[in-house]
Amino acid sequence: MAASIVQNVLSKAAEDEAEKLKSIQVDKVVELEYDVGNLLAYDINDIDVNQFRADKEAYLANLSRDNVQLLINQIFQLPTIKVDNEVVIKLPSATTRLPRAKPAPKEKALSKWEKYAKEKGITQRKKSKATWDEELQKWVPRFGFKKALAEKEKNWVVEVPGNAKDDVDPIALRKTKKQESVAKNELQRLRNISARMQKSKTKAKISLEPTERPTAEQLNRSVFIAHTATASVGKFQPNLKEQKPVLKSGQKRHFDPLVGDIKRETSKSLDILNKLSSKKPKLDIDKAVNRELNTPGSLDYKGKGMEKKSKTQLKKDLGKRKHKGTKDKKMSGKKGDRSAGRSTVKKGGKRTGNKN
Amino acid sequence: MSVRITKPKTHRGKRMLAKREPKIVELAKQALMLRGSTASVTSLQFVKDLYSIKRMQSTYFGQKHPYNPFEDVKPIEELTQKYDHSLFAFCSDNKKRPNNVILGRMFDHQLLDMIEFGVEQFKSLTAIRNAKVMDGNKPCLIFSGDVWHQNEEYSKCKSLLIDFFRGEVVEQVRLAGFEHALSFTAVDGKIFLRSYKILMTKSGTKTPHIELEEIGPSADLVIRRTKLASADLFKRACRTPSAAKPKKVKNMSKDVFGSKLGRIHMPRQDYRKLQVKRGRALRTEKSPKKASKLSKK
Repeated sequence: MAASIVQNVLSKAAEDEAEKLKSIQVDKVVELEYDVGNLLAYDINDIDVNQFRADKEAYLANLSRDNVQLLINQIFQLPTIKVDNEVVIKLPSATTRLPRAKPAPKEKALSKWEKYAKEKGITQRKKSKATWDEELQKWVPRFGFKKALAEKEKNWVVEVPGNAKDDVDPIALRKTKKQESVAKNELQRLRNISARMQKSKTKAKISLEPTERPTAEQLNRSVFIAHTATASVGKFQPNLKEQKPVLKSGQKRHFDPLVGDIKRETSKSLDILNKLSSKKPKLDIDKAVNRELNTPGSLDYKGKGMEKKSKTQLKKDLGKRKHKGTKDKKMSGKKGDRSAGRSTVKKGGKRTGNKN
Repeated sequence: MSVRITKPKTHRGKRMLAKREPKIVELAKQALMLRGSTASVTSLQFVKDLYSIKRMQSTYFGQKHPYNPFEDVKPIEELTQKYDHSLFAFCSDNKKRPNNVILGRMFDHQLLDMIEFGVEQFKSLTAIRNAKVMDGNKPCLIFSGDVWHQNEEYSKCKSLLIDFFRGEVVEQVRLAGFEHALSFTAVDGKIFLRSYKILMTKSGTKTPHIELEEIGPSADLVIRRTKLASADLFKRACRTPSAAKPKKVKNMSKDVFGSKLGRIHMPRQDYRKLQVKRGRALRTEKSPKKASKLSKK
């Protein structure tokens, strides 16, 4: 009897204990997807719409509780550290890719001094805020109005040599020197900024339009063009006195050797055949649109015959096409137009004997 | 890329400019809460509640802004540029779109995407009377329903909501610091936003048993209009600089005892030409007498 009473009491105590310590288990059909770095859990499981509509709030509360429980289960499995007498969980980095607020910073170009310092290995040393001045017997700050006052105290008199001119004011001279040094510093700062901006700009084609002060690059280009603008493309053109021999610039065309890697040759030929027979469009429109958006004007056709025409010229051309029966000289296709090897293409030339 | 030519005149100005410069690892996104000139009580209270949740990372402008974001985003873009914010919430109301709230985000102070929600069955923070959660608490986010990844609109909406509500990106959280939970359930063509306080009780294991207490706000959101970013703009916005990516540590392993091990790869050695004798410099001096003897030599 006593044993059974004891047993009852113990079992009841165990039941009470079990009730207190509630379960952390949640059963789901499909596992949730977790992004613990963001404290995020994503439940893909289907939602029973009928059950949901029966009692919305209760359903949502239950669902949320289950999902939060699962998320907390995941979180509490992470390693813990003690920071300042507090137990702290170390979160992993977030896995969902979210857009940034601003584009990534571009690497700053080094200024002239920074480049030199890097070359020579000069490093910045931390300077103290004030220095001990022997003359004044006090701590003078390195910068600021107190430094200016201290300087004034020290240099209250200027020694003027005997042979100095009468109209030269040495104190005013000091002031102008200071102004000059400030101006010089400002000039150098602006020069650094302009150098940085020049670098960041995309390398545009060197324009040959007449300018007051042509840059060195422009002059070099002009020299090169003048040198090669001969019938022999500059081959027999003597160089100027101090001109360096002009080397060919531009991309070198690369040709595969005639005899060599057979495998490479076969793969290349097969690639060509595949491209011809594939149903993919030759023009990747997405790529073209993106390229145009990012670097506008990069896809403009720069070949011959499509140069920028003036408004008046365009009007003339349009006017031409309005008339019936006019054939463009290029398309006339007469035998007389074709000469051996060369094509005579005339732009906007006179019409000879065409009917209206 | 515009380069600032005039130098900042004060140290405070210099610090502010440095704060606004793009960084490799960004600070938490700030949200701009705007009141529209036609805002209804419900939509305005919703925006105010959003501000309460995100107080540490948002500013609320209570004046009436006569904007129409879906027609012209420019005034909002200008505001975000002026105050250096990258998220915004805008409330409005008219016959066609009652209780309207627009949530949006910016990339480089240009509109990235924005989604218009209709707020129904709204229960404000003030309507539910109980103790709330502390400001600045990082909430646990729960997204339920498989629509979130099936539907393109919903997946972008999910990304926007995560961005809006996730708070600061932190590395460490106190064990007891999980107090707030936001649940977004997508059912029946609506998004049910519910906000709870997390109560932890003993469970016999290390992990506590969770009970939730609703604190509000609670709303049923209906997606109305959306203006989503093009795929390539979104891709460009998500681009992380290589410096931000975690570096892989190579050639490091730990043995059972926790000591760090690495491998050294040796080139082939000619065993006939190995240096076996120790040079004079490497010889250990046994007594000072010997050292003096050597130095004399």
